[in-house]
Amino acid sequence: MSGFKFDLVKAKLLAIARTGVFVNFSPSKVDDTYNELKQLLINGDSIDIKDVYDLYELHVYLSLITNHDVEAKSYIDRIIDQFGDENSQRITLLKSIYYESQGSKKEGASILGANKNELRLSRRLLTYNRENLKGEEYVSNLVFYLNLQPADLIAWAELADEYAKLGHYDKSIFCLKEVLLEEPVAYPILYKVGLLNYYLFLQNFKEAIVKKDALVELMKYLVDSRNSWLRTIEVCKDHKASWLGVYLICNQSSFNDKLDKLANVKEFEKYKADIKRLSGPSAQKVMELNNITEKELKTLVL
Amino acid sequence: MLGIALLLHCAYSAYEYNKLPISYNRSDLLLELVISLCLIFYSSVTNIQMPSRLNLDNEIVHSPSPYLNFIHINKSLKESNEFGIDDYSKFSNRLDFIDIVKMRREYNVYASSIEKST
Repeated sequence: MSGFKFDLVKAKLLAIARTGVFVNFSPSKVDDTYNELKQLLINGDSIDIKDVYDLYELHVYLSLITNHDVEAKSYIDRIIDQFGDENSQRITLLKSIYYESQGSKKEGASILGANKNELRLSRRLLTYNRENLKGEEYVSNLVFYLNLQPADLIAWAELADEYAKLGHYDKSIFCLKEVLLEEPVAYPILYKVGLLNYYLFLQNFKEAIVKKDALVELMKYLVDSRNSWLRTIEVCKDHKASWLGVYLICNQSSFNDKLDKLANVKEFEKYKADIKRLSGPSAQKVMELNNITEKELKTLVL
Repeated sequence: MLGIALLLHCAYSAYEYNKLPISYNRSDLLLELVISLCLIFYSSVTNIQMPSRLNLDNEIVHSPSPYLNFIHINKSLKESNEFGIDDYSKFSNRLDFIDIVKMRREYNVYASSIEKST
C-alpha cells in the first residue's frame, strides 16, 4: 500500500470507527472492511497512538461480526492493557457485546451495571434479551427508558424505528419530531418524517374513498410529507430521494383524480395549485440528478 | 519557516535602522517585510487545504471547497451527504443498540453462500 493510499484508507476507517456506520453494512461490505482494516493494522506501525485504539475498537466489532472471536478477544485485551477495564463505558460496552456474541447474555448484562448516569450502558441494557421480546415489549422498555432520559436522541431514533416496524407511523413521526426539536437541520430525520407521512397516506388510502372529509385527511399526510421533503432539500441541496418523493406526490394520479371530481373545495384548490407549481421543477431535478430520460422517469410512477 | 525567518530578520534590521548608526535603505526593509508576510500567508492558506477522502465505495472524493467548508448549510450538508458519513449518521447507526447476534447470523448465511458457490 503506497503512503497516499494508506492515509486515505486510514482516514476512511477512522471515520467508520468514530461514526459506527458499519452497523448498517451488508455482510459483504463488513467482510471487505474487515480485510482492509486487518491489512492496515499489519502495516500500521506509523499510526498515531490516539487513532490506533479507535481502529482496535472497530476491529473488535468487525471480528465479532465475522466470527473471528479469538482475534476480537485479543484486541479487547490490548485495549484493556492500555486503559484498564474500569471507569470506561466504551470498554464495558465492548466487553458486554463480546459476552453477548458468545451466548453469555447474563454475564454481558451483569457487567453493564445500573448506573443511570452511564448513558451508553443504560441504552445497552435495554437491548438485553431483545430477540425474546415481542416488538411491543421492546417498545415499552424504550418508552420506560425515555421517561427517565427524555433528552436521549439516539433512543428516540431507535423508538421511531421500532414503531415504524410495527406500522405505527404516526407514533414514529412523533419520536422523530422529538429529535428534530434538538437537531432542527438533521436532514436524514427530516427525510424520514416525509417518508413516514407518505407511508401513512399509503396505509390509509383506499380506492373506495370518495368523501370530502376523508380526502382532506389523506391530503394532510401528503402535504406534511411534501413539506418535510422540501425542507430536506432546503437544508441539503440536491437531496436525490427527497426530490423523487416530491415528484411522486405531484404524480399521485389516483388521488389527484379523486380531488378533480370534487370541484370548488377551497383546500383542494390550493393543494392542486401547489402541486402544479412543483410538478415541472421536480421532474426536471429528478432527471438531472439521476441522469435519466423523460421516458425512464415516467416508469417510476407506474 | 522561511517567511518567519525573513520577518525576524526584518524586525532586527528595523531595530538596527533606528538605534544603531548603520545606514540601511528603508525600501529594502519594506520589500523584505512584504515578501515575508506573503510567504507566511501563502503557506498558511496551503496548509489548511483539505485532503482528498475515500468514500464508503472506495472512490476518491475531492472536496468542491478545498480550503474551508461551505458557509451555507445546504451546500455544506450536500457535500457530507455525498460522502456518505456525517454528523447525523449516529441517528441511523445507533452503535449502542447494535444487534450483534443478528449481524453474526446474517454474516454466516453470506459466508456459507460464498462457500457453496466456490
